[in-house]
Amino acid sequence: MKRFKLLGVIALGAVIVGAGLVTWATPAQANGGPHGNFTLTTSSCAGCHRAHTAIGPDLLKSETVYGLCTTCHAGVAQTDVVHGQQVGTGKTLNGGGFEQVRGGAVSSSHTVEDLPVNGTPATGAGTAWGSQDGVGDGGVGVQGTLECTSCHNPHGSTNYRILRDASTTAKWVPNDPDLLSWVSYQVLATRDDAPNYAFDVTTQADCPVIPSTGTTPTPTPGPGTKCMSRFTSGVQSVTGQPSIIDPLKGMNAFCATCHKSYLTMSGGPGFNSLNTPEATVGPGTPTRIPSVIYPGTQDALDGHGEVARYRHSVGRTKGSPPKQPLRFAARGNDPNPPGTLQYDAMGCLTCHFAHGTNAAATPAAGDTIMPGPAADSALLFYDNRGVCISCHQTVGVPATVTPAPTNTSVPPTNTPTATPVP
Amino acid sequence: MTLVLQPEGGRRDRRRNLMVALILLVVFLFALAVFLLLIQGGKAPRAGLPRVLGDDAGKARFDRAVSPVSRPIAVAVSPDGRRMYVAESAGAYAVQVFETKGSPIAAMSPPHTTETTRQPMGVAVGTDGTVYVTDRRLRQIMMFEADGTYRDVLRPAGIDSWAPLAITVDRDGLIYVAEALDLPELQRHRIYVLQPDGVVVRQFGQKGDASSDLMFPSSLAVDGLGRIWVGDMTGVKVFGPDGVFKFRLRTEGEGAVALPGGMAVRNNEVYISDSINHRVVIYDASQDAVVPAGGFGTLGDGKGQFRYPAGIAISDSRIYIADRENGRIDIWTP
Ligand code: HEC
Ligand code: HEC
Ligand code: HEC
Ligand code: HEC
Ligand code: HEC
Ligand code: HEC
Repeated sequence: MKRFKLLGVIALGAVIVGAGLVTWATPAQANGGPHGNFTLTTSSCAGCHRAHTAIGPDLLKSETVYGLCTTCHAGVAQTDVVHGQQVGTGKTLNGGGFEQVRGGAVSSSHTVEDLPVNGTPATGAGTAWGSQDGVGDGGVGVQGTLECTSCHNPHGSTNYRILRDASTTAKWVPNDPDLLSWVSYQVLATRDDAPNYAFDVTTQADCPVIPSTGTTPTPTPGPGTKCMSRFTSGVQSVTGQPSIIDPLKGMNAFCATCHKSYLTMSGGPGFNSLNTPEATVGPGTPTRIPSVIYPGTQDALDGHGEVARYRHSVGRTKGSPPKQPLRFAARGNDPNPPGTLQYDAMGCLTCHFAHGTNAAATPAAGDTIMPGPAADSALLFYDNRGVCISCHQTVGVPATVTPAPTNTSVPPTNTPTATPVP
Repeated sequence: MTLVLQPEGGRRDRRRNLMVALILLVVFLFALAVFLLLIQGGKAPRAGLPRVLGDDAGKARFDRAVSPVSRPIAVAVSPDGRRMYVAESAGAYAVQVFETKGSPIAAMSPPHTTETTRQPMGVAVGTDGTVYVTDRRLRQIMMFEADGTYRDVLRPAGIDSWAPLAITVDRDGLIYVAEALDLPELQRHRIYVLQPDGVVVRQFGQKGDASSDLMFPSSLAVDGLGRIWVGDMTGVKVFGPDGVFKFRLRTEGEGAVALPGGMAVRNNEVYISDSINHRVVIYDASQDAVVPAGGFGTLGDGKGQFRYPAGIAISDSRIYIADRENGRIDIWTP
C-alpha cells in the first residue's frame, strides 16, 4: 500500500513536470523543429531523452550537449551552427559558427564543452569577462561550464531564439533575484521571429529600406542595393496590448546575465548608473522600470573601478543609423504593427557574433594602452577594428558609403557578388 | 508491453490524439516508476552509464576499431567487402578509403573543393562498385570510381536543384536518396528512387505531423521485402516498395529508436544506430510485422562502446559503425 502511494506520488510528479514543460514551452520560432512546439506525444521528447530512466537530470541519455545538438545542427537541420551557415543557401547564420564560418576556420568563439579546439574537446570551463556582481571591478566575472544549454532552453522559451531567461541561467548569475527577474522579463519578451541568417545582399526581396539620414534620400531597395541586416533584439508581439517592454534591450540583457559589468543601472540625466536610487523602482513586473536599469555599456566599470564614460551606449537608439553593413536592433515602444519598427539601435550583436567568428586579430605591436585579449578576435564581425571603421568611416570614404574593406578575409560586402555578411 | 509495432494510420483528430497521448504518457511514466522501483530498487542508473533494456549482448561481438577519422558520419563497404568508405564531418571533410582490414588507401573529394566548401554526409556503393557521395554544401551526389577517381555528379532527371542528404543502394542497383531542405520558400522532406542513369522511378514524402510524414529524413535502408526504411528526426518510418506508408517504429519501450543515425540490412535483419542512445538496435524484418531482435553497445569510448553512432554498413561477415564522437569506425562480428 505504502509503495503504491509512493508510486502514485512519483507518477503524479512526473506528469506535473512533463505537463509543466509542455504548457510552459510556447512556440518560440516559426521554423518548427523539436523545440517548443511540443505536442503531448512522447516521441517529441525521445529525440533528446532516453526511454528508460527516471525523470530528472539522468533523463538525458546523451553525454554531452554539444554532441546532442550537433546531431541535428551540423548539416541535417536547416541551421548548421557548426559551420555557421544555413543549409541549402550557404547564407551566414546570425550567430556565426562554432568551427567554421564564412568559409574560414573560427578564430574565437563561445567555447562550449566538447567543442573541438585544435583537435581537443574543450572542457567548457570559462569565465565570462565582466564583473562577478555587476557593480565591482570590470575584470573576472562569473564562472561555469559553458554549454549550448547555458544560453538556449532546448524545451523552448518565448524568446525568438529560445534563449534562456536569466532565472534559469541561475548557475551563472546567482545573485540579485530582483534584477534578474527584470532581465528575464526582457529576454523572454523578445519573442518575435526574425530570419536566422544574414540577408543576402544580392536579392531584392531581402532588402529592407535603409532609413534616411538627414538630407540623404532614402535608398530604394533593388538588386545591388546595400542591405542593412538586422537582428530583432525582439519585440513584444501581442497585438493590441500596450507594450511596457523596450524591445531593443532584450538581447543586451541576455548577454549581460553573464557579462555582468554590462548589467548596469542608469538613471535619467544627472544620474550615473550606480547611484540611481532604488526608491525609483516601481511596483509590479518589471520590478524596476526600464529607464532605471539599462543593460548596456555606457556606464560599465572599467578594470579600475571607474565608470567608462565613452563606452558605446548599447541599448539606446542613435536616431539614424550609419549606413554600413553591421546589424542593428529594433526599437519602438509599441512595436505593433511590426511595420513601424526602426532598426537603428546599437546592441552587443551589432559588433559581436553570438557563437563564433573567423575574423583576424592582429593588434599593432607594442599596443599597451588597451591591453585587451591580444590576438583575440573577441567574436567580432570584422578583422581587428573593422567594426569601428564600419561606423566611423575614417578611411577616406564618404560617410554614406560602406567603409573601405580594411579587412581582407572578411569583406564587408556591399558588392552584389560578394558573400553575404551578417 | 507488447513487442510488436503499433502501426499508426494517417492524420488523426488532433484532440483525440492529445488525449490518447496524455493517457499514454501517464501510463508510460507510471510504468517507468514501477520499473525503477522494482528492478533497480528506486535508484536511477547513473548518467553516462545507460542500461539498454531487452538487448541481447550476445547479438554481436566487438571486433576492432579503425581510426583516426574525423567525426565520421557515414560509412559504406564495397560489394566484395574489401573496401570501406568513410565520410568525415570534420577535419579534411573527405571520404576516406580504407581496406576493411584497416589500412588507409586514399582520400577522395570532389575536384576544386576545400574543407570549407564541401561537406560529405552520405555514402553508398553501387552494385558495380561506383561510390556515391552526398554533399550537403555542394548539394550534389558525386560519383567516384572504386579506386577513388572522381567521375561525375548524379542528378535526378528533371530536377535542377536539390539537397540530397542520405543515400543507399538496393540489391538491384536502384539508388534511394533522402532529401531534406526547409527553406521558407522551398520545403522538401522526401525520398527519391533513382536508376543509376538518374531516371526517377519514384518519389514520395513530405513534411507534416502525420506518422507518415517526414522531418529531415537522414538515413535509409531497403529490407529483404523491398520495404524502404526512413530515419528522420522523429524516428523510423517504413514504406512499401511502392512508397506507400506502412508503419513507424516505436520511440519508447523495447527496441525504441530515438534519433536514428544510420541503417543497414543483413539477411532479414535491419540494424539501426540509435545515435543519442549510443547503441545499435536490431529489427527482425522477415515478416509483415517487424519485431525488435536485440541490439548492442553502450555509451563510452572503450571497446564495444559508442559516442553518437551515425552511419552503419554491413558486409557478409562484419558490421561497420561510424562512431562519430569517438572518431573511429567500429567493426563488429554478427
Ligand atoms: C532532433 C534534431 C534536433 C536536435 C537534437 C536539436 N535541434 Fe535545435 N532545432 C532543430 C530543428 C529542425 C530546428 C528548426 C530550424 C532548423 O531547421 O534548423 C531547430 C531550431 C533550433 C533553434 C532556433 C533556430 C531558429 O531558427 O531560430 C535553436 C536556438 C536550437 N534549435 C538550439 C538547439 C540546441 C541548443 C540543441 C541541443 C540542446 C538542439 N537545438 C538540438 C532540430 C534539433
Ligand atoms: C532538443 C532536445 C530536447 C528535447 C526535444 C527535449 N529535451 Fe528535455 N532536456 C534537454 C537537455 C539538453 C536537458 C538538460 C538541460 C540543461 O542542460 O539545462 C534536458 C532536461 C530535461 C529535464 C530535466 C530538468 C531540466 O529542465 O533541466 C526534464 C524533466 C526534461 N528535459 C523533460 C523533457 C520532456 C518531458 C520533453 C518532451 C516534452 C523534453 N524534455 C524534450 C533536451 C531536450
Ligand atoms: C553565449 C550564448 C550562446 C551559446 C553558448 C550558444 N548560443 Fe546559439 N545563439 C545565441 C544567440 C544570442 C543567438 C541569436 C544570434 C543572433 O541573432 O545574432 C543564437 C542563435 C542560435 C541558432 C539560430 C541560428 C543563428 O545563428 O542565428 C541556433 C540554431 C543556435 N543558436 C544553436 C546553438 C547550439 C546548437 C549551441 C551549442 C553548440 C549554441 N547555440 C550555443 C546564444 C548562444
Ligand atoms: C551563459 C553565460 C554567457 C552568456 C549568456 C554570454 N556569454 Fe560571452 N562569454 C562567456 C564565457 C564563459 C566566456 C569566456 C570563455 C569563452 O571564450 O568561451 C565568454 C566570452 C565572451 C567574449 C570573448 C571571447 C573571446 O574569445 O575573447 C565575448 C566577445 C563575449 N563573450 C560576448 C558575448 C555576447 C555578445 C553575448 C550575448 C549574445 C554573450 N557573450 C553572452 C559566457 C557567456
Ligand atoms: C561598438 C562595437 C561593440 C559593441 C556594441 C559591443 N562590443 Fe564587446 N567588444 C568590442 C571590441 C572591439 C572588443 C575587443 C576589445 C579588445 O580587443 O580589447 C570587444 C570585447 C568584448 C569582450 C571581451 C573582453 C575581454 O577583455 O576579453 C566581451 C565579453 C564583450 N565585448 C562583450 C560585449 C557585450 C556583452 C556587449 C553588449 C552589452 C558588447 N560587447 C557590445 C566591440 C563592441
Ligand atoms: C554601430 C555604429 C558604431 C560602431 C560599430 C562604432 N561606433 Fe563609435 N560611435 C558611434 C556613434 C553613433 C557615436 C556617437 C556617440 C554615441 O551616441 O554613443 C560614437 C562615438 C564614439 C566615440 C566618442 C566620440 C566622442 O566625440 O565622444 C569614440 C571614441 C568611438 N565612437 C570609437 C569607436 C571605436 C573604437 C569603435 C570600435 C570598437 C566604435 N567606435 C564602433 C557609432 C559606432
